[in-house]
Amino acid sequence: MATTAESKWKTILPPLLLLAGLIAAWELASLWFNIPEYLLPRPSRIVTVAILKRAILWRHMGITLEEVLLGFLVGFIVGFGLALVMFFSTTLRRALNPIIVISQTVPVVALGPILVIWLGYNIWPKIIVVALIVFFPLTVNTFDGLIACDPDLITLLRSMGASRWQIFRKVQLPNALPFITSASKVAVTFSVIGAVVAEWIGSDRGLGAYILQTNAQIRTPEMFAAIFVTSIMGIILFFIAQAIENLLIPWQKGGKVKRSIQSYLSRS
Amino acid sequence: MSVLNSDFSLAARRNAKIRLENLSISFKMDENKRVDVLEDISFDADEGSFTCILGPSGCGKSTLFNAIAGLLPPTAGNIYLGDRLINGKTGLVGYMFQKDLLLPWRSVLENILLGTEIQGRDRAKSEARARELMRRYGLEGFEAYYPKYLSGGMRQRAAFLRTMMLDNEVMLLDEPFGALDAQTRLSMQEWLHEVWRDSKKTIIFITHDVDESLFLAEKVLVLSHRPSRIIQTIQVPLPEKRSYEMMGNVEIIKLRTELFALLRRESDSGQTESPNGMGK
Repeated sequence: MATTAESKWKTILPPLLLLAGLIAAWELASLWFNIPEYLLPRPSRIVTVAILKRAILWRHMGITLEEVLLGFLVGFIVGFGLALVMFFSTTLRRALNPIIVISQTVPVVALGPILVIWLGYNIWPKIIVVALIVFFPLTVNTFDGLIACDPDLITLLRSMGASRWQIFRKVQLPNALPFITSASKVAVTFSVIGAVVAEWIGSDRGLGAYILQTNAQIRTPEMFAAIFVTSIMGIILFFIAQAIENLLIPWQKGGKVKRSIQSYLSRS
Repeated sequence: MSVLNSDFSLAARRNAKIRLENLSISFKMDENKRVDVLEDISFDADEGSFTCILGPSGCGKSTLFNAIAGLLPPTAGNIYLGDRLINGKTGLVGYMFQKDLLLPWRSVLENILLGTEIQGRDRAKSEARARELMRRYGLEGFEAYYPKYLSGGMRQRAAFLRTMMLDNEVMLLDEPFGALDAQTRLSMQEWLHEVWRDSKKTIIFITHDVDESLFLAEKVLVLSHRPSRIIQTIQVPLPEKRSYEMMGNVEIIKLRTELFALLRRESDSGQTESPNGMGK
């Protein structure tokens, strides 16, 4: 949306002020009540520790990010694929539906240990845990998006002599796009949680594992620093997903004029 | 070649372009119940003519179009395009709906090109022609816009051009201005009439608006309530080039009163029958 600089500040400023106020209150309360560091470290202390331990946090973050991205990729592909299969085959839809729902009622956390036994003490159990969390919103939303298409549009295309495939590609798939991007935003946020939990179950590396170790050793400031980094990572991933969405569905994001790649090329 | 097929001579016009012979359509609801929607419909639409199909709401007007467009095979009877039998064949006639059905993710120009894309035509040629049509019919400058930034009238014009790009000689327009406000509607009727005179397409136009049918059509067919039959055929006594002042002609006013009475009788008789309205 074409927001002016002034109105942009109006939307950014309130949450920023609230956040700053809460952090300041936390800092002051810690000092005032003299809360011991192993119970609740002060924000300034967490930041200091995060800077001091940046090398180790960076390394663990890299491992967790890898799990998140690979898990998301696998979950996205499987979720999208399942939606297509269910869309094109009523029989398979009926067959798959209960299994997909059951997969979400079984606590993924409980599956973790068994995955470690089956697949070993490596990245695969984490990828699978993340993928299990990611695929569900993708399947459900993609499918909904594919069937949410106006039946009159399909009639129109049929009247033009369009094939089943053309109707899918030109109408149904683009129609599902906003559903897919919205599911991806949800899924990418959950996938960070998934990766951290999966590391708790069986790993000595990654932010989740680091949180667990520092917690066990009552190195609370470091633990908080790791939580802080995890949350930053989730926020950044969400905003990346948001930015990709804005690029993919500009017609829903207030874009007035379609800028195609060709028109960019012809202008340059 | 010119953008529009304006080189048709009047003499070449009077051949039947669309011919329906004893067309009947019924839907099977279950084992022992069937609903007859169209019954024994026969008519000709001459090449380059403008025919209106007028009927009460809930009669089988849209079913009739679905059959001509090949989306619905007739239960009985035949549909000809020129000499060719086209029962159940799609992609041969243009079809336009009350809703503009423009794809929100495509620019106006890309929407107009949709049909040519589906039929695999040359992109550059189609685009040049689409731009020319847009310039000619008041959409210039909106090529790259998303449809939602256009007014209702402009969107319907874009939808019409999309249909026109397919070069079908026959265009079926199913209450295309039904969702527009009265003012826009009037100017769209004038616009359509002008386009028709220019292009010499064969147009069949569904409406339940008596005035609209008299202003636009050369021939008006009145359909009864379901099962729909043609109960009246009227030649509109107006010249090809029309203006709204002509709607005040004594003859037109008489026809108008007659048609209103006819339609009222039909929709009244419809209300005493089965109330389930399928396939309007």
